[in-house]
Amino acid sequence: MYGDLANKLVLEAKRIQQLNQNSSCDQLPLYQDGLVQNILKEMNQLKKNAEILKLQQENDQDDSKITRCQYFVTLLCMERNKRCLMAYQKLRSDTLDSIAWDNDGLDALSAGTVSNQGSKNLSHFEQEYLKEYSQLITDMKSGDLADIDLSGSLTSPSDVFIDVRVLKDAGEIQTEYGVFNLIKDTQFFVRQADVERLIRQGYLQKL
Amino acid sequence: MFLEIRQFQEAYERILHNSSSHSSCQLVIFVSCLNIDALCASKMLARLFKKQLVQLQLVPVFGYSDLKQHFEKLDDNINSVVFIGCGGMIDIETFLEIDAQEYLLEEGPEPKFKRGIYILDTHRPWNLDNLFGSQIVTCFDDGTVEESLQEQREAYEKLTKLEQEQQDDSQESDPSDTEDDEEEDTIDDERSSDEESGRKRNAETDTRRQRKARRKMIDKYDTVLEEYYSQGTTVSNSISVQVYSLISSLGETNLQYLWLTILGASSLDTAFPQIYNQLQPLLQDEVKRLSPTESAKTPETLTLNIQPDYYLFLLRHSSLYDSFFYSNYVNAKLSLWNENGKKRLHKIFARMGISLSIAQENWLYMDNKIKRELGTIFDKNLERYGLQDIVRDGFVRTFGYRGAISASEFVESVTALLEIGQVSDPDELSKHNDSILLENNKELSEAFSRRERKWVSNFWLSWDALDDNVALMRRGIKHAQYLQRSVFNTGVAVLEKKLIKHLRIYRLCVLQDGPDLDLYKNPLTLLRLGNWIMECCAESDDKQLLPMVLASLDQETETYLVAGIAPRYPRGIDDVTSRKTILNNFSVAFQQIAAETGAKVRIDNFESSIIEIKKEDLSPFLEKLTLSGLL
Repeated sequence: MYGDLANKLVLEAKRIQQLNQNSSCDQLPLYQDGLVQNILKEMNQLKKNAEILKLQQENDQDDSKITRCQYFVTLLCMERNKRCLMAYQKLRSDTLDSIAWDNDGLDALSAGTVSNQGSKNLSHFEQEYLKEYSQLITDMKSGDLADIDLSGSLTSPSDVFIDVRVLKDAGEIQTEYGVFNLIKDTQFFVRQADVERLIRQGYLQKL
Repeated sequence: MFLEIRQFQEAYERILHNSSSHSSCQLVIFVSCLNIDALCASKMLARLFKKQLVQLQLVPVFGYSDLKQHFEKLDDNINSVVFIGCGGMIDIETFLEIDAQEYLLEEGPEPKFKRGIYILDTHRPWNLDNLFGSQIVTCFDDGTVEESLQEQREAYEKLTKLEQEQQDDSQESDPSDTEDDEEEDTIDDERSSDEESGRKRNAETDTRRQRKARRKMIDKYDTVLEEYYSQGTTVSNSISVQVYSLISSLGETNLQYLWLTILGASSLDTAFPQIYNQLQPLLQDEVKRLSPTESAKTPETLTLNIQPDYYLFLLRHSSLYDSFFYSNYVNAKLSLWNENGKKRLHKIFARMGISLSIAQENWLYMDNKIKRELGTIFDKNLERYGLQDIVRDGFVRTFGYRGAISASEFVESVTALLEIGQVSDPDELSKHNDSILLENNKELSEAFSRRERKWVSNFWLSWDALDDNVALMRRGIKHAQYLQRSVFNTGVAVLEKKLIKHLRIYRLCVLQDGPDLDLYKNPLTLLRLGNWIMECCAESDDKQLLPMVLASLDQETETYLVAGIAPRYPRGIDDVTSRKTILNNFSVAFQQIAAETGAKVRIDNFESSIIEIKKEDLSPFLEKLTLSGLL
């Protein structure tokens, strides 16, 4: 039946949702290119059918109930397919948005390369979208609200100073207030504001 | 520079003053990572600085090369560096290639420097360059300088002055400086005949005589220093106690600091019992002063109190039988490693009226009556076997409803965490064997550094265990039991196969194959085995106390880890204080022989009596050691 394929896609979308709910970090599985192409093919088929039906309708003077019904059902099928495709795409773009918010605005603003190892999982258009969305975020941050770190952590700070432990070597890292020399397996007692980004990048572990 | 105990506070305030600005952290603490005492001390110090909101970085280092590497990477804006448990025995300024002038801020009679280096180390002998020669390095001294180093101080100061003069002279005059005394005699003869140039010559001979006298003085002072450096090494005090004295001079003592101090001090108990025995009364007074008097036990009681403690291995966390069986002390006294010893142990239990099945039960679930009367039972029965010293006063910490632990047990647990670390099931450790055959030197050093990295990360595990983390502590105790069992097994194997060779001046034991050989890659575990064997040896023959060389083969890197262990008196509380402290002579001997023979030796450990030798170089090295007469 028409729409079965689209159902599969929606199931896939559901899976992504659960994946992101269970694991704390956002991740995207491979874009279901084949499935989407098949659905599009189906849509083309439907569209052709609809055109034929339309022609029939014009040829038959008495526009019979049957053709009208056929035409309507075809349209409904197309509608259904469209909804499924949109739902899938919307879910993916939401995840992409949150990835963009999480990762961008960090020191190394190289969204597609380092931060998202799943960039090959994205379709070409999604990559384009991610790039432009990140650009939007940076624009917004450098606009009127430059004083606020909009992509900063959402948990409220509890202490001014915290203990952090270095998880991987990073050499010297310049922060606003000075230089840190990150050697693996050392511990710092530093101002939280200085190291928040390093914690989110995974260099440091908060204690 | 050095500081007496009374001046510690000044140094602390200087560090605070230098590093409490608002730019990023300017204080780095280097900790020697295989040393529980240093661990506790650094924990206390870090906590103290945290209270003042001083930003700091803690760097655990494994050995000298590690230290140097990290020190070189420090930034310019770091102006206080603290070494804990390391650095006292080497000349820091030359080793780390520090040019004092580079850091000079202000000249004058009291020059100011941009960076200060503070050394908290109890390894002795001190390097005199650190104490008297350097302006950047500040040593925290516990009174050794005042008490016993006056002569050396004088010698050092005179010597530097004389050498300075000599240098000035040689720059001024012609290079005839090297001419010998005989010539001087001929000059004397000539003088009478030659009136004209007499005056000139007179002046010349004067300076010559001066020079000769000076050379004699230099020789004299040189021998004083030579003697000082070659006398062998020891540990003089506990670092934690030093830090605690600093804290108490600030008036910030509390129970947590005290507990860490006690841990630090009791970690020295196995290797240097005389220090612990000295410190114990002081600690007891502190406990009495600080401990709160609470009648009922609540979940929040984290009290510290003095209770009878035993020289038994992990009594509160294993069964009575096991703790007798695996304790070093009982092992040595009863020679438990042979069948007779085991029978004797059973006889002891029979005499004490504790059935073997009860003794096998875990201490927690043992009969309450026996637990309560254990002290008196021990008093009555153990004297017959020479075990009367098994009971002593110890420190016990209560973690609310989660149980109690004594200081010595906690130290065992923390040590085991340092040795084994992350592995949840220690049995896997011996099975897990990444047997990569290493071919060239680069891979060898890589293997070393990889292993050292692992120990450094274990350091943080022990660090966390000190934070009243009961789960981690329990894991440590499990590890400790496993380690002690394998040490016991290896020890028994060593004694049964008679692997210990009695050479004329020392004992030698080389471990070449065995089930748990992998464990002894870690210096701490090797020392644990060494302690076990030493105690057994100390009890067995009264004739002479011989030091021991213990070596274990590491297949992976084809090297031997060699530990020189100082001889030990058999335990006994009565006359420990009257005995002379035994110095470890191996540190000096190892270094000299390594230099003489050019064997492939790696002296990297802060404990200078532990070295690594290439497989093929071991036997010539030991031969030389026997014949050198340095011991």
